[in-house]
Amino acid sequence: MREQSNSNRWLTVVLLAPTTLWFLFMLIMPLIVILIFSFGERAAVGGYGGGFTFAQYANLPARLKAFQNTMTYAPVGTLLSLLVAYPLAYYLALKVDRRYKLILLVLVIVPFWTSLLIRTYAWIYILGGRGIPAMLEWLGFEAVRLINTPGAVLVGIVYGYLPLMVFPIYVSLEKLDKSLLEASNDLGGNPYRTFFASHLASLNARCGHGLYAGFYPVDGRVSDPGFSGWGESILHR
Amino acid sequence: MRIYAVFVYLFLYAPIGIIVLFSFNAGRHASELRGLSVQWYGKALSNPFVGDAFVTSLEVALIVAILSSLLGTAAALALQRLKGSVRIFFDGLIYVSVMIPGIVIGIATLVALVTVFDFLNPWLASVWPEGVKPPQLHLGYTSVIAAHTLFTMSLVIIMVRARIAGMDRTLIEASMDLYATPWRTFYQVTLAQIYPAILAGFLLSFTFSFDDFIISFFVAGSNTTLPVYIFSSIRRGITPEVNAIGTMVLVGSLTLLMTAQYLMRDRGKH
Amino acid sequence: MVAVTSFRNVSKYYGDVTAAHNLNLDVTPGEFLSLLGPSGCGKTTSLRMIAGFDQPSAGEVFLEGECVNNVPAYRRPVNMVFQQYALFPHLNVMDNVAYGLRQLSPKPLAKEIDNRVSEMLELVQLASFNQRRIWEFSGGQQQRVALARSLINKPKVLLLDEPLAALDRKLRREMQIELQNLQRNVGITFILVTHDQEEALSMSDRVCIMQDGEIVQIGSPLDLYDRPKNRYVADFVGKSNFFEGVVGQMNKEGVDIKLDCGVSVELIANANTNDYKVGDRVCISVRPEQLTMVRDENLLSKNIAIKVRARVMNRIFLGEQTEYLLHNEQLGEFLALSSRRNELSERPFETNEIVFVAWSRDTVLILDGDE
Repeated sequence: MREQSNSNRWLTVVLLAPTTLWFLFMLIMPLIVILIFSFGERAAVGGYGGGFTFAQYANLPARLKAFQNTMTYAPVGTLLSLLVAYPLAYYLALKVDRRYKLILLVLVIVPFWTSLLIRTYAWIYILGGRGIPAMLEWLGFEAVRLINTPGAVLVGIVYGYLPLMVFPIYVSLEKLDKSLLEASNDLGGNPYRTFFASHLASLNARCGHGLYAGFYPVDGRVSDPGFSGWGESILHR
Repeated sequence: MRIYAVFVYLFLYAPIGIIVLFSFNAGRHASELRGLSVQWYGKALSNPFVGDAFVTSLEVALIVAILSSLLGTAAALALQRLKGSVRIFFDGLIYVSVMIPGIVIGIATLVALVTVFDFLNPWLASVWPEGVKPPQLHLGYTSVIAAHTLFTMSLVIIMVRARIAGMDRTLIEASMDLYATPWRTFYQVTLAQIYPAILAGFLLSFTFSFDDFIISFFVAGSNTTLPVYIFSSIRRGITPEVNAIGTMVLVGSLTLLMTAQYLMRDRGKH
Repeated sequence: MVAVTSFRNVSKYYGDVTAAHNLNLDVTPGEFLSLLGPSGCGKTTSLRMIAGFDQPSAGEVFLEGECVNNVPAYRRPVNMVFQQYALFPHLNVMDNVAYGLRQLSPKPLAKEIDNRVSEMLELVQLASFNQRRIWEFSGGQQQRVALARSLINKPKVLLLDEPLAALDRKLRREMQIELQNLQRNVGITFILVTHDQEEALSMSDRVCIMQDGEIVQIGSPLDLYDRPKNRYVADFVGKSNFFEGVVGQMNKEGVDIKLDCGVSVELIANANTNDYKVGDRVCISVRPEQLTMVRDENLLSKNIAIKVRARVMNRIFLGEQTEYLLHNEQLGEFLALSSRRNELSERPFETNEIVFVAWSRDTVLILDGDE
């Protein structure tokens, strides 16, 4: 027994080693370097000039607006992505014939094999003057301004993070195959209660992962030049 | 439910339709349709930079996807055996590497690697035997792959682990009980149970890497990936050439997908 | 005859918790043995030690005369039916059942595997279902697939871990009979773990009763019912009334026991009574069906150990029998069973009615009393 647990320990170390190296050199080291640089002074020629100063931090209040945007868009965007992604993931995981599962799943990510930039242009076109607003006008409705509104930013977020939401949820739901529901039926459970119990449990336990995966990038990336608004600023440059 | 799914797919493909439409634009402006033509396809195909960038992107994305699914799965399997502080430490790193914005990891990696290379290159040159050209560490292929893999590997870990967590432990005992050795049990039961997560992780990793612009922009060095090339060409003014590239990638991948589906049509029927 | 599997002084500890303590057990080839006890009594741990999922902390586990302490689960010629079946969800029925055969080296020919799978599915009455996915099956059918899967390699011992616990009552009765027939047909040794005494008694050749990680008594169902070793066994195997007391007088013909409540009981001396001497604290056990209830005390035979008046407190109709809860000022509350035949010859006893209750001198069992 002892020997076995020893070899088990070695296996764990070997399996974990590459990931550890990655975290060490590609995550921890760069973050430490950035942290050191953040206290540095700007050299006359630009770049890092050594020294120790809080000058860079003193600039932060000027970026307050960006922080605020991030803090409001991120949770709302995450929740929206979840609301849009969950039913789709559920449908793909449990309702679709096995033969078509993979292809339908891949179809979710194929749009992202084009370029982010041209997708952004396409969205600007759709939401901009000649897109939906023009269509509404043509149909006799009042034209609305869509581009550069919070709604447009949210559409961008939901669109961009849909695969990142759908995939983890799909993976965890697909596991929950019909046999589990079936088995609890035999125990005399009410089918609806069974459905919701296992459903909510899986949502709780596993969607957490989907939520994490979806939430954080949104958190970080909205403060990158905002999705639709950003595109337009390039267009009009 | 099916109607809902159709709507989501429409949402996903609406901008794609616009991209395809404008790729046939006769005019040279991206937001104004002036007649139809295939001239931009000719331009894109005759542009050597596009081909190079596409191949680079494809190679990088494939390597990233393979690395992430292999290493991520290994790590997920190992983490499931761990408890306590080590586990919490790794959980923390995984979530940090997923949540950290691409722009931050791009800049941080750039700065860190350049600093390290500036330090290592003279040292390598000094210890290298006389007369042999010392290796010159620089940004490029490897650094893009490494930076992408940080994010995608963590994604794979999260997905595979969700799958392992939901797995019935007694299945492993049942397999052992039926005379399967630990190794056979691993690939007949464990792997069979988690492979959808690995496959999903592979696809997501590929997609992320192939589509990523921000990280590549900082750490790619002289090796241009397709998104980086497209960005730089946009700076010179956007033309439907970019749409033509996107459309070709799209048509190519859809063709591959349909072929694969056709070839595998008999599998998994029962 | 060499026991097919045995325990020699086997103990299992999880930290401070004792899951099994000094177990000794020999299982005869071809028998149907049940490990019976409440949850946490060590029955499942014992089964897992035979399967090889758990290793004993001390002592030795034998399979066909060889110590298998260091043999991993996948090299032990035993198979297990799991409580929740543990069927492989990614495989169809055919592949689930064939799983064990496919692990053998050299691997049997595809044709032979096919034949064996069909044979097994026929055995569990699931022929022609082999292409189905397992989730298309009901619980009872999944149970049968699990049985077929674990029997296909013709194990020396089949281990069954509460295999029927997940089924509803009616299906469970059917499966009990089916399991018993199956065991007779294949002639493989079955070891069944259960907490259901009715299940253990009705199916097994022998029952091993466990409590707090120890084996209390092993014997045929009849043995355990008629000659339980102590109050725990008597209580676990069927219902019984217990009365504490002290051995009074003793001679060749009989024994007098003074119950703590003041009532005196006269018993006929037998092998059972010879274990005790005057002054020993004992506990007498009287099965409810051994009590006779009458309205007219003249109907009682002369050969009775005790006769009391009691009030009918409650009546539970059980079909072929009726169970009465009775109360006597000295004895307290106790149970009596009256058969339907009795009920028909007289009219049923009513609640609050006063009746005469007696039991005969040769039916009472003496057990060790409380410390």
